Parts: sequence; C-alpha cells; structure tokens
Amino acid sequence: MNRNAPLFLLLAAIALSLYAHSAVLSEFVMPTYGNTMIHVANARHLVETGFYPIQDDYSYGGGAPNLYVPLFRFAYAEAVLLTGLSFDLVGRLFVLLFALLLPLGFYLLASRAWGEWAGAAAAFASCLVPELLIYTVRPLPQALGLALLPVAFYFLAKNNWRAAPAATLLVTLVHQEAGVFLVGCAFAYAFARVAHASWHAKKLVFPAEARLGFACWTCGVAAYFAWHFFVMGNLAVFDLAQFQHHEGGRVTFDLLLTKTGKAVLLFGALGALAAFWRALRSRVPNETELLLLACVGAGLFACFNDLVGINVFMDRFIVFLALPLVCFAALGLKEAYAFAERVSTRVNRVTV
Amino acid sequence: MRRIILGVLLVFAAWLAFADFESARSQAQPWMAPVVTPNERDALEWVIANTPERAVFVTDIFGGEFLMGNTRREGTVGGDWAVIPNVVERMHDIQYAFYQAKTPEEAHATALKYGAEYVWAPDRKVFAGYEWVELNRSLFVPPYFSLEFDNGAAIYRVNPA
Repeated sequence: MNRNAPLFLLLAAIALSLYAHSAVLSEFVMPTYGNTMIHVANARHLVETGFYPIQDDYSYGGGAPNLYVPLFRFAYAEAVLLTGLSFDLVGRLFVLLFALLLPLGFYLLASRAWGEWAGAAAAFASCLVPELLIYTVRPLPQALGLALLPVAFYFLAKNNWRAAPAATLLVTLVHQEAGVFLVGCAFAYAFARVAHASWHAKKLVFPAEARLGFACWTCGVAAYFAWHFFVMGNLAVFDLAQFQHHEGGRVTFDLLLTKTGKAVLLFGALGALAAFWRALRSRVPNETELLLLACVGAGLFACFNDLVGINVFMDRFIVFLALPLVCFAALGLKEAYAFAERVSTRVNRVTV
Repeated sequence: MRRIILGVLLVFAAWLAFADFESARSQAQPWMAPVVTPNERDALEWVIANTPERAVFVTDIFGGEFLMGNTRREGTVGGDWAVIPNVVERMHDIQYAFYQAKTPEEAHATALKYGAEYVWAPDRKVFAGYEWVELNRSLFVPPYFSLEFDNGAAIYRVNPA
C-alpha cells in the first residue's frame, strides 16, 4: 500500500470540506442567519473607531453591556485591517478557513489515537455531519470554536502544559458554548483519568494528565468569569436571558440522527463502545481515546441537561457531541474492518 | 470471500457517507438564505449618507442586524439578547404593536417608546421574534411618519409626537 495514501485521502477530505462550505459564496450577501451581523457590527466599530464598544452593544436598540466573548470579533477586525477586504468577503473567507481547519484538526486528533489511516477517515467523517456543516458554513464564533476544539483536544491528549491551557483560554474567549464544552471535557477527562489510574492502582492516584485536565478546566472557567465580571460587574451567569427563558429544544433520537448523520452516529457509537471496552481492560490507557470518551460523556450531559434541571441549549450541543463521534467513527470503521477480516478468515478456513 | 466481505463493508460505509454528505448539504442550504433583499442592501448607502451613527431604526431581527453590521446603526430588535432588560416585552411590542399594530397611532407610539428615529420597511416579510408577517405600509402615514427613501425597500422618519 502506498505510504502516502492517507495523505492523499486527507487532501481529498479537505477538498470535500471546501466544496461543502463553498455554499457560503452562493448569495449576494454573506449568511445572515445566526446573528452573524452582530459580530460584524462590533468588528466594524473596532475598525472604524479604534475602540471596542464594551459598554454599548448594538443589540436591541443599543446601550447594553457587550457581554459576548470578543476574540472572534477581534480576529474579524484584524483580518479586515490587514487585508483591506470588505467585511462581507472576509466573513466568507473565514468560512473557507474553517473548511480547511476542520478536517486537519480531526486528522491530527484521530491520527494521534489510532494512526494516519484513522486520521484520514476522521477527516472524511467531519464532512458528513449536517450540524457541523450548518454551524461552520457561516462566519460565526461558534464555527471558529468548533474548528479549534479538535486542536485543543490534541494538545490536551498530548499532555502539553503550555499549549493546552492556552488553547482553552483561546476557545473560551472565542465562543461561550465551545468553552463550556471544552472545560466540561477537560474536567471529565481529568476525572476519568483519576478513576482509571486509581482503579488499577487500588489507591487514589492523580496522574499528570489529570492535573492538566483540571488546570484547563480552571483556565477556561476563570477566563469566562473574569470576562463576565469585567463587562457586567457581577458573576450572575444564570440571570442571562438564555437561562431565564430556557433557550434551546429537547434532544430526541430522531433529532440526534438527523443532525449527526447515520454514518457518524453508527460507526461513532461502535468506536466509542470499542474504546470504552479497551479502557476498562487496559492498565495503560490510550490517552486520546480516554479523552474522547470523556468528550462523549460531556457531550451527552450537555445534550440532555434538561434531565438534571438546567434546561438550556440542549440541541445546540449536538454539534459538540458530534466532535468526538467523528473521531470514534474512524475507530468504528477500523474495528468493523478488523471484524470483517476475522470473519472472512474463518469462512476461508471452513471452506478449505 | 475475504474481498467480498470487506467490499460489502466498504460499500455500506460509502453508501451511508454519500447519503449523509448530501443530507448535510441540503440541511445547510436554508441557512444560506440571506433573508434581506438586494433593495435593502442598496438602501444602506442612503442610511450611511443621511442618518447619524447609532441612529435607532424600528426593524425586525434581520433588518436590525443587517443595519448594525453594515452601517453601525441600531435596530429595535436583533442581536444578542443575553442582558437586554425586558427583551421579551420589546420583541412582543415590535411584533404586535408595531408591525401588526391596529392603527398608525399605535405603531407611532411604539416607535417612540423605543427611541426610534426611523422605520426600516423592507420589501419582504418581517420577523420580530414571534411570527413572519407581511409588512403593512399603510401604517406609515403622515402625520406620524414621513417617507424618506423608497427603492422597493423604504425608510420612513418617525415624526416627533
């Protein structure tokens, strides 16, 4: 088999992602659904006045504090200043950048766990999730957050004490929900790592990977609350309209299937089960695999948070649950392939 | 036999993948709809040339966001609602006491209540948070409102009480 084959497959996945995301070029203005323009307004304010309107947002008649985390808007303004292009074109180019980053991030993460072939398969699988395309085909902070999350997971799995906390800070200040998901994953990973190590050692153990998970959780939580306090002068997160009015809908199996796609849900579930079984049996876990399992746990908790009374944004977290499932779909395919090989070997033996 | 079994698996995976890719593209397509119209885009020039920065327009959600993003003017609804006081009442008022007002007087009073100096009256249905409705331009008449611009999408001044 050609050694470069996974690389060619990755390039094909990038081409597929670019093709799917090229829908952003189809209309006379960039997409407007999802409040894309409020970010443009703040970036434009920064470019045209040199200041960021922290206490005077444009929303709903203006005058309210500008609570939304700012990094996407800073990046937008910076891109306009550096290139001299229009805000509309920069928004569309951002989408094409997300189209490039997504398969690359998944390739990086799944390659670390199971090798290059799995990496290439994950890169392909990232093009198959409807909800992932819906959110990343628009110039939204969410899209940048989703594109950065696989990279943040990669650094966390690699136990990189500089890059992982830095990536957590970055993601948290790019998009709130992406930040919430990341700190949830970091916490779940740390907890799972402590539980796994302690179970096998028969005593309480705190491995370095778990300490990094807790450190990332602390970084993300501290970064968000610092921003919230800086803008609002309080820490009353649950007073936000999204919590007060319980924005978001319930997640049903049909919705999950429609938004995640059959391939990623089926092979992802298969891969997650295989990984879970391995984690139970192995004394030395595959760190990336354990992290992705923790991400599935965090994603399920977020999608069904109505069951514990939080009741906010449940359906919005489907796209985040899809991230580890994309990687596990690669493992699921690999395991299904290995199983099919074993079956064919047995069939051959019987017939011989 | 080995090739057949592995082939069946790969064909099954490829079939699912193809169906999902098409599903993803068709599910994403409606989110590409700009909602706003070319006439609204063309009206932005007039807004920039003839109104002060951060002037408040009575708008629906899409009109408000389109204005703020392109001109740094403000809409009565649209944007991030996280910390807006009485935001539900505001959306309800713009939907039912402005766009679906019974009389020009009621629409005018609502515009003044929210500090609006202009009305953004696009050539499409409007949505202020509750339902999509046809724009009723017969509400925007003197002495309450005066027409300032019209290319299909119209802009009215909200006259003082």
